[in-house]
Amino acid sequence: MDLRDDLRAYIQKEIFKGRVPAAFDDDFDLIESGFVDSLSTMNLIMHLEQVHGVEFGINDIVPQNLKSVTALVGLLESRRG
Amino acid sequence: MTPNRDARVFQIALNGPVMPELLRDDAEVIVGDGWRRTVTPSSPWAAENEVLFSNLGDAASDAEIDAEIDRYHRIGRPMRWCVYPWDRPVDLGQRLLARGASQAEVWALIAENDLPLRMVDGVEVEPVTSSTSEAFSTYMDQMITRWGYPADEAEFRRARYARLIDAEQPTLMLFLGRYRGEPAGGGACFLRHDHAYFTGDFVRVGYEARGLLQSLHAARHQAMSAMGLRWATGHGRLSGTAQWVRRFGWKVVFEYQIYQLEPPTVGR
Repeated sequence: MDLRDDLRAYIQKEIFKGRVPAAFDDDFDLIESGFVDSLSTMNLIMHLEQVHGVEFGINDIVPQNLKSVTALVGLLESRRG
Repeated sequence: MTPNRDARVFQIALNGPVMPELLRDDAEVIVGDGWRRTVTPSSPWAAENEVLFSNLGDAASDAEIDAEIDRYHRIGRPMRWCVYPWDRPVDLGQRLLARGASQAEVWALIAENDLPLRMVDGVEVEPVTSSTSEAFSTYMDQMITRWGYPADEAEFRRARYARLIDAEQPTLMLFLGRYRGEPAGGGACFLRHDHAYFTGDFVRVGYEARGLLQSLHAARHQAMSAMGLRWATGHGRLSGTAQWVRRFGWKVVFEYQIYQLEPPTVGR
């Protein structure tokens, strides 16, 4: 499964809990829409580290990098160098 | 790290939660022989009725443990007992659980205040410098709501925090976080001679995952660094902010557990 597919699948299962909003696409804002909180964000970060083998810097875990599938892909690709 | 630095880091982290500024007038602090207990008959808050450090031996009897707990049960208050990896007996935590205690996993953490942690876009953090300011009222209202303080604890905190921040040489600093202009969180620092104890972090419900906690940390690091305080320490629950704080670059100095016991109900 490629990165984007993995992120979509994780978000649909773990964040939307299977109830996927009709407007969901790769630019859907997970934060402003109220779907993520502190705990779900931490779980998402741990998933990314475990599955994709990246390490994040202390200033990486910010809303701009986490808000959508597109933002997450950008973050992961930048950390993979 | 050098041995001296390791020792200082440990000492700072271990003693972080010792906050005499937050003792009520009727608080009794019983210190000696490796113990530090606080007994506050007027307080319904377990943090003010706690065994912070204990020194039971390997062969501690159930009666010795019960005697400590009874000290708090007699005043009808919940109590908590901090149990560290070096505490004896080794089954102290298990014996508190057997008495009906709840358990929380806690990390004692530390960082240097020159940590390059940045503020997050959209978040502003304002130091609360006077108890007569609108920011103070907002901070207190939100903190009390977030933590669900009982009415008399809320009243005590308002009065005590006001006294501390208005002092000629304050030992407490409060920081109010705003997200896009809206009050959304806060955090406090107790000031010591070479470090600060970060405590009381809260983020308003509905404002999580927006960078409030990171910005509150960044702002406090900058303020403490400007004051010449080298270190920041804090104790965080794994169910709360601890894992976030570690991601902000803090190091875990040690792990421990807090056990909380409620007072017996009448007729039990």
